[in-house]
Amino acid sequence: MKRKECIAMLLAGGQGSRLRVLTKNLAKPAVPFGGKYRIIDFSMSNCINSGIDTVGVLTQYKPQVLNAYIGEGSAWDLQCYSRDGGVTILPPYVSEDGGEWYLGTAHSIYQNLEFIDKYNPKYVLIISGDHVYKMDYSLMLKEHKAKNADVTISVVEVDWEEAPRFGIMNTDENGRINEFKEKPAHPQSNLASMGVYIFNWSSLKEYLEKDVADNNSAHDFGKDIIPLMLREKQKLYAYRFQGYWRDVGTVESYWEASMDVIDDHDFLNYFDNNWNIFSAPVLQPPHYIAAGAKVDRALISDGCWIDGEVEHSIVFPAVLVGKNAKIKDSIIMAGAQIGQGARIEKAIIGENAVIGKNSFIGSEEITVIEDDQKLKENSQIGCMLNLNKVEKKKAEEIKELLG
Amino acid sequence: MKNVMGIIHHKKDEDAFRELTKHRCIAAIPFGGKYRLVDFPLSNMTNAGISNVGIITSLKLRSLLGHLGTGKEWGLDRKHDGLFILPAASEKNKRWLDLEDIYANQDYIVNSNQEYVLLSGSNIVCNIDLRKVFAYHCEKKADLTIIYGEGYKFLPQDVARGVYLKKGVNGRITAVSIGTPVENGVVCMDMYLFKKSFLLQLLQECSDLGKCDFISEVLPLKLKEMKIYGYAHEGYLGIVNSWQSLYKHQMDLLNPKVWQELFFAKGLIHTKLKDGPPARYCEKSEVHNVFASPGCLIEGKVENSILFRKVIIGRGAVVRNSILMPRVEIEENVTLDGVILDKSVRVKKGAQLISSDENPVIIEKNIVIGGGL
Repeated sequence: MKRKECIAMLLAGGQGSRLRVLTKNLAKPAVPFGGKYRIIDFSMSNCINSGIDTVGVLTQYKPQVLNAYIGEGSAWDLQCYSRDGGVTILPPYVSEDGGEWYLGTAHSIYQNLEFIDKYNPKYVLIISGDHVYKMDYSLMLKEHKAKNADVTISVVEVDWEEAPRFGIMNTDENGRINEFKEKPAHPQSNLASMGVYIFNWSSLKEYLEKDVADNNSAHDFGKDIIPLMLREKQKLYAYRFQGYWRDVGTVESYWEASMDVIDDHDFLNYFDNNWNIFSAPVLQPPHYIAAGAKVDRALISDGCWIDGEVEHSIVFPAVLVGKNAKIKDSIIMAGAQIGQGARIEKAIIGENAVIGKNSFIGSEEITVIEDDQKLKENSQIGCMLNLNKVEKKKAEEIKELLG
Repeated sequence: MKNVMGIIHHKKDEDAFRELTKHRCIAAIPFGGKYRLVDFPLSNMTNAGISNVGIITSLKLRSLLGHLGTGKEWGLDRKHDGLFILPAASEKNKRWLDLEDIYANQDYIVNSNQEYVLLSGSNIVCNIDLRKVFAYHCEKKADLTIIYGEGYKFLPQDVARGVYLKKGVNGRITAVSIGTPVENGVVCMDMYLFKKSFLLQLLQECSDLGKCDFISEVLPLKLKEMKIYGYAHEGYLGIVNSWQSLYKHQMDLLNPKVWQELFFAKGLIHTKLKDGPPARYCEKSEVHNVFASPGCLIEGKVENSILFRKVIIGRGAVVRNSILMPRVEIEENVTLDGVILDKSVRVKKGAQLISSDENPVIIEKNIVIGGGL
């Protein structure tokens, strides 16, 4: 096997329970995003665009959809049958000494030491499949080498109010990390870890072996490996990433990032040939916008039939929108059918869901309709269903406001 | 259908498509937002389970080869059988179906394992279940089954190129005529099913007697001596014989019934899949009765039109009754009505391009229009 300078290990095993029903049937990286992508497309495309041609994808939670989607990796030109590298799916496995589930992010890498050793890389890039961003990892690697670092952690500036939600890095003036705090109540910096790490393989291997022997460890990069390396005075540097980066780990952040994609014309720009986001395209004819339809600030995918109004929304492939239906600030997943006269606002409609005629979905909070749900005519769904009498009156007012 | 191989023959009447065939063969003419004409016969074959297809092409094959690739999209990237690109015997002539082209590739046919051959033109837009044709052919114990469309009306300029059939009792075909419409408009869809041995015999005769055009020279003579049956295709049919009918049949897609029937009813029409984000509709865009593809960026007004991939429509532009092929760029305040713009045409700010009659204006690939000198 030819030696690789840097290979990527993509952590894709998480459940993503904060995405509620969106991850009921599939792993978080496989959640559809932006009208035709899945979240993992961003990390995979970043790899190939950065010149990294060997990617191990660590799966655990409900991997069928993800496995099928990754397939042979040809969507990203990461064919698994290419002679050196490509994509390899790495599920937990048993061996002569038994086996176990991946207990944490670090443990999942430890379980695949042999896979990494096969390529004998100098550096290992650890990324996750649940962030939406375009990043050139080769620039980060360049800085890692220039600083002669043991670990480089990519960070992004977040709003100070948001900082307590993230893993926060405190650095000196040279960018060397002197403290790492997971979700600090009183952050001293607003540099959040993006969950993108570059390690020197020889030292990472050493620390993984140390970590696995520690019974008190949660075997997690952020909680265990990084703090341990800091304690042992290893050289950890922060790499400042400039650009759009979103963690789409909650329904709210998923919805917000989707709305960002509608408003920011540059992010998903097909005319930007330097940094394409690749995906496995689906076979559908072009979409049709009927004579009576109205489409305003929207992304519409192949195979859709739009006869109603779509405003500030994302519509995935093969969606039918009936006459006089109105969709606003929403995300409609593939194959959903929106009946005539239905109103949908601030909602996420799951794959192949059927919304009956004149139904009303939405409220101030984001409403999520599960995949394959069939709603009868005149259904009313929103957070308002669970409200008491006083709040119901308020909900009625909202309903009036929405028309 | 494992026992059937497919051959798509080379249509030679390229002049009927004017500028559109300057750099490509008829099979590779873009159609319907993301397809090329060859996708229809090819998908019909592979949807029916045919896994060995030969496509005969001329020298203008760059776009066709780029489109077909290894045949992966049609499931033809196989170890056994698969997709074969076959050279035509001659570039151009007046023949409807040139047996010489097939004769030149006789080895391929002989070496294939299949017992039957489905021969098709490359310009037939339809979605047909060929398994039913095969069952009909076997049931009738026919020597040759010709697929036909009923009640079909050619555009006036296409009539001279139309092949009409006369049906007798029991579905036998009794006469064939070229350029003279018959009652009920029974037209030959340029799709034939027969045994390989029958084809090889035809090829031998073609070589011995010099009768090389299947439609005008061979078929009329065989009507009596052989069992030649017709199979009626029900559903949408577009025989694309000229640039005018190319325009008409694409505009037909704006009819919901046609859209449904052609793309969903019997099987999906496969094509080369490409990356690209969904079409983006901006504020103040107005779009009515439009068929649009991924990667489009629409800021202006579009009506009754077909937009291929990556088309940009600028602010204040108005596009009506038009077909815009991939990467066409329409700048601000342009007015277009009744035009076919080939790939990467750019229309500069404020220009107007309006067809004066029912026929569209065709603009060749890569041309820049307007913007003064």
